[in-house]
Amino acid sequence: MFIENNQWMNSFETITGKTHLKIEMPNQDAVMSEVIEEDFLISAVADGHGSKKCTRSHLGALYAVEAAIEVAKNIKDDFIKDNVINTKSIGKHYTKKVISLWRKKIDEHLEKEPMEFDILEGLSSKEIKSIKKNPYVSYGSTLLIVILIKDFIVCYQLGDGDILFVSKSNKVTKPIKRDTRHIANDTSSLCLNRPEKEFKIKVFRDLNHVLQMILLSTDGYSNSFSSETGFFKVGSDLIEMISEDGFSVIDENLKEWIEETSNHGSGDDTSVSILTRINKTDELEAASS
Amino acid sequence: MKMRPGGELATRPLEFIWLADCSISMRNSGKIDALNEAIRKSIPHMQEVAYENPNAQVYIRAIKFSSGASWHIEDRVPVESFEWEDLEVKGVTDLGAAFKLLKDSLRVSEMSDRALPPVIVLISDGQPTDDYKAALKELMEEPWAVKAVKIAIAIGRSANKRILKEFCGEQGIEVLSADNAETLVEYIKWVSTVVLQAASSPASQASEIQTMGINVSIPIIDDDFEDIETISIEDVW
Repeated sequence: MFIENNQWMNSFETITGKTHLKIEMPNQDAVMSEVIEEDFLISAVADGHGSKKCTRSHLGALYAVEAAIEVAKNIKDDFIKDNVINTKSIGKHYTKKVISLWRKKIDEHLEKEPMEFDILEGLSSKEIKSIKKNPYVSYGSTLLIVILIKDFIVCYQLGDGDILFVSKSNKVTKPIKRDTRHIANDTSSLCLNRPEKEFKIKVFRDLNHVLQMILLSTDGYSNSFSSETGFFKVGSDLIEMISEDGFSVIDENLKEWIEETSNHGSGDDTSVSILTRINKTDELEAASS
Repeated sequence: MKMRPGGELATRPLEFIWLADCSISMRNSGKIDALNEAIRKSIPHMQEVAYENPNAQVYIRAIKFSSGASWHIEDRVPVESFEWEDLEVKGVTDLGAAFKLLKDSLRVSEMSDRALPPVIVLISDGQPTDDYKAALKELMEEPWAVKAVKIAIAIGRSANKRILKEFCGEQGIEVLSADNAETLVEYIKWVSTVVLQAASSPASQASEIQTMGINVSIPIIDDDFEDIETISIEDVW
């Protein structure tokens, strides 16, 4: 899928991992992007947990990306005042509202389709008790968001997954470092008691447009590479491809790329969103050549 | 399709570590022979499970402990080329020394970020002869040790199940009791197949809501394992 505004082009896709296809499980990832205004674009990816308690996490992931976008739309005018970013509004205020809307969507779903514990297989009485105490567990998901507003870039990360920056000099970095607590598929989650405390938020102002690409992905993508260097190479390779063939090369191939990557790597559901600010003049030249 | 971006792809590594008691008492009633045979018999089953889970690369390692502890298989051997060399018995039961060696191998710096939770199978027939408690406490300071799937098999009636249970954790899997060679073979087969299968495709889970410290859901062992065959009383350890 492809969207664009004045500053950014964005291609995003999600695929069901081989391990889920094998056992006929749904894709528990979600990805969504939207141009809210010509200088305001938002992209989000979410990874629903695969634990047997998280039977509705595919919905949890979908509600997470929907909530991220809906809240951004609703409070967009609060983000920047007089060309200065309102850190309180873009930070705590936004994340709390996202969590609140995510829970509201779940509450509505639970009202329509209450949990039927007798048909859930393999859950102990202790596990059932914990779901009854906190039904959001069944919808548990991570959430990564990037908001591009005027010259500002705001990154949010709750749980595992990756955000990569690629600079004009093709340097690939992670604006939010990996949380060392997360090993062996353990992750922070929207379903925790106070998830707002788990959000890592970074704000950047890129007046000189040093940044040329941002990539968001669920952990199925980075886990498919033998090393972090191999994963970072995605950024520099994409820049090279775009400069040769234009941005359309991404939109045309992204789904197949992530399918191939997951199939030969982690086997997990994988979602990727690629945002690029390559000069549109270059883009037109590449397309015509 | 244009060539895929990014570097080399790889499946996720999964370490399967045997922790085997080689104290002199393991010689009694052919226990060590039964263990060697059981592990050897499990190899094709492990390889089959690994083949069916192409997105995990299973590596085998083994620690032996008696008077002190050492690696029986130190380098990570891909399951496809795994062969078992017989363990030999000598000395006492320094379980603490085995935990120390295990701790060193599970340090965060030694493990890949992408690794799946390791599977550690402790097999013992006796009482520890060193300070296993302090070593176990230190071992459990390693995040990968906490996340590992820990299984303990008590061989014979002299095995200290309470201590083995400490290794598995309060909310962990119950200690398996093998009172004869046939049961040992079945249990070894179970950990090499059912447990390995579960660990090969673990589910992601929110960190605060774990029930067992691990995020691998281990199916309950079949009751049939208890009466697989009629065993004569002389065969019971």
